Amino acid sequence: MIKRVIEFSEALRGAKIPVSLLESIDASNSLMSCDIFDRGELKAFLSSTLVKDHSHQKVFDRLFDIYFSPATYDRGLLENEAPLGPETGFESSFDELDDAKLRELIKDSLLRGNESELQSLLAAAVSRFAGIEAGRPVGGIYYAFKTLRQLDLDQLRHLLFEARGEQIEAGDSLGVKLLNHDLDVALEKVRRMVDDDIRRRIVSDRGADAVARTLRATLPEDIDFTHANTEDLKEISRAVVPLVRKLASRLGKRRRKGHGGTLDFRRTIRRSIADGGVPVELFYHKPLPTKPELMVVADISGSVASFARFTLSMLYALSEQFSRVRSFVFIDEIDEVTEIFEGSDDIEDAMKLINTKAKVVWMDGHSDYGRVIEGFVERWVEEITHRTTVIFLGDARNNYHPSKSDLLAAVRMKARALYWLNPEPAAYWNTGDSIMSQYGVYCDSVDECRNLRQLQSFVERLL
Amino acid sequence: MIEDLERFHFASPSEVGELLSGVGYLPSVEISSVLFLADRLKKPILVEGPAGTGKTELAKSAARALGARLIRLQCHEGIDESKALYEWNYKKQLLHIQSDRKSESWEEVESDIFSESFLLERPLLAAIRAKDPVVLLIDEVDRVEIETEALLLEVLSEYQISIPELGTVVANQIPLVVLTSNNTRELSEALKRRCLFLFLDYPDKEREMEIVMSKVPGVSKVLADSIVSFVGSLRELDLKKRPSISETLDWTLTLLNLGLEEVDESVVKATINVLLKYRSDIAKVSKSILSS
Repeated sequence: MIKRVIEFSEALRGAKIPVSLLESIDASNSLMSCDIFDRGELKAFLSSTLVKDHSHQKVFDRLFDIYFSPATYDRGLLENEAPLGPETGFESSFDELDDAKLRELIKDSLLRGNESELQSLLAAAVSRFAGIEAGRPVGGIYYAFKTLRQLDLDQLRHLLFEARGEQIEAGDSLGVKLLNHDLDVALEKVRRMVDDDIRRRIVSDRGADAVARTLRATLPEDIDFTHANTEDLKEISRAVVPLVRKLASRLGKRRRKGHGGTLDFRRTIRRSIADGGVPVELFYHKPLPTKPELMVVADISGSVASFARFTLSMLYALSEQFSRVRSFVFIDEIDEVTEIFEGSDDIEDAMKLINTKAKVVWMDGHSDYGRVIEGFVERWVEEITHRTTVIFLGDARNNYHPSKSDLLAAVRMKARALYWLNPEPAAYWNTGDSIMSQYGVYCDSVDECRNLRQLQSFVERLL
Repeated sequence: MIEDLERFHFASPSEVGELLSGVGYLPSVEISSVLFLADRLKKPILVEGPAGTGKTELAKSAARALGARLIRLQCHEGIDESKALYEWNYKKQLLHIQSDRKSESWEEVESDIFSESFLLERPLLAAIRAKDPVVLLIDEVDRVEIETEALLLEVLSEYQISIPELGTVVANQIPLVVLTSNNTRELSEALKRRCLFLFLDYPDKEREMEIVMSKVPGVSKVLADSIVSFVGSLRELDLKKRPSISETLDWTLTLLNLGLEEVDESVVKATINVLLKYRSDIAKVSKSILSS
């Protein structure tokens, strides 16, 4: 068992969750007080000793399911991991039911909120629909997809709606909405339980370590912007908020601590009265920190749009740290969108507005950095001062248009600094139509910025 | 010697759960397990989570359930050891020196004025020196600066405080320590390492219903159900401030006092300001949930 916990800590470290030696010792110690037949208790113990940051919880949950999966757990196979044969036994009583009847039963157990019944029903569904073959190197997603398609969640939703809908009077639109929300939650639960069940079977087939290696267990701050799917994006935006808050309070503190202003004569004299006119304690004026002005020029074409979105939302959330943030977006035409951002207190709304309002497409909707830089210099270079920091966001993939990179020199000359953030891995720069180095020579720095972690460290350097 | 000292000695997490329910705090499995483990491993608990999910209440209830005294250290920016650990009562020291004791040599006076009778206990020292069972609550620990955080480390891991003039004060008994944090900044690794971590999220539907039913007697099950699922759907939205448990309870009381028996659109429109505290949030909710 202790060996298992140590392997588990290793796997957590592999997913970049910092687990110190002391913490894995604590976890092992906690086993002594733990009723190890109670999986919930074990999970609470391990999570409280090993995971010290809530954003890591999801990865922990996933790995916990693999290393302490109920299949191996209930059968006491933790010590000697014999691979299990195909699942037999507990779901056989459902074998004679047809698909519709099975769905009916699932519906009933959802209505009653009976978790264990639901679990065995879904296990039956997985055995019936997924067609899992032992030893076949297929990811769990494939099986889950097969099961859920055959189970027909829309149909299930329909059944649930009918069963619950009777309580709702006609015309009660709020009631309908709440019901729909409840159903979403219920179906999400079905999906999750199917996923869990399949993962369990795969684990018992291939062993925990093998599954953990293939599992994509990434912390939100390490998710790649350009490859994120919808769910990843949601996770990233959830992670942005606390990140920004922490960043802001840290920066604020650094400002306040600043020392070395001129003598505050008035306060010093006032205080000296208490000591009989001897200025024992000296007071200084707090130096007024210079706040940089930002001009953010962001490529919002499809390939890098989500990167631009997170960078902009992060910079706007920190806007108190800057004297002004002006933002420009482009595809093959550039437009200023500062007002759209300032007029809305919600970044998501603002991004939607930008897509409809800003004139960013001139010809074919493929990024044209050359044309954009030309436009930027023509229209706004006069407004760049020595306090302005200019940040370009984009992959510098110019679709073989002329680069006009020499125009950036004018920007660099006038601005305090010129930075370029590129969401592509540095190894891909200057391959294909990427002309990063042509622009790079005019920039103070060009940074790879593929995930929140890198974005955060850039913002910190900026201030 | 600390190992021999008395602790609460729970038999199992479920016993902790029963004790807490007994004083009106309905814990989840995680909560009672972590509390149980904290007692067994003699480690502090670090509680994190959104505002209004019962972080501080957990410590208070634990104290009540265990019949222990609650000692609270409310953290804020600029707190230092004279507010958290101990302070010398220098006025008393001055008086002592000035009083008629000219015969004594300076060494004697010095050893006199730095003795325990001139020591002012602050929460941490008080918790450690307590003879009776104690629950120590260090509230909003994320508000202190990183440098001050280090002050806590000795107390939290060794349960002792070193006072240069006096020596080391070792705990009479190990108090149950609960630290809460709103996560406004990253706490140091050193602190996190020494604590058990507990994240208190918004409760799931069943638990929140239990809470509503137990805290607001007289609410019908149907009403509680629709209240909790409405609040739950609000929490899914991207709001500036999501409604907390205490706001759910406020809203339930509001509805009860207005004599309303069900949640429908007009009710929500009239009373939403109990749940949401920002105009933009209210606007957003009206747009996404209320209008059809």
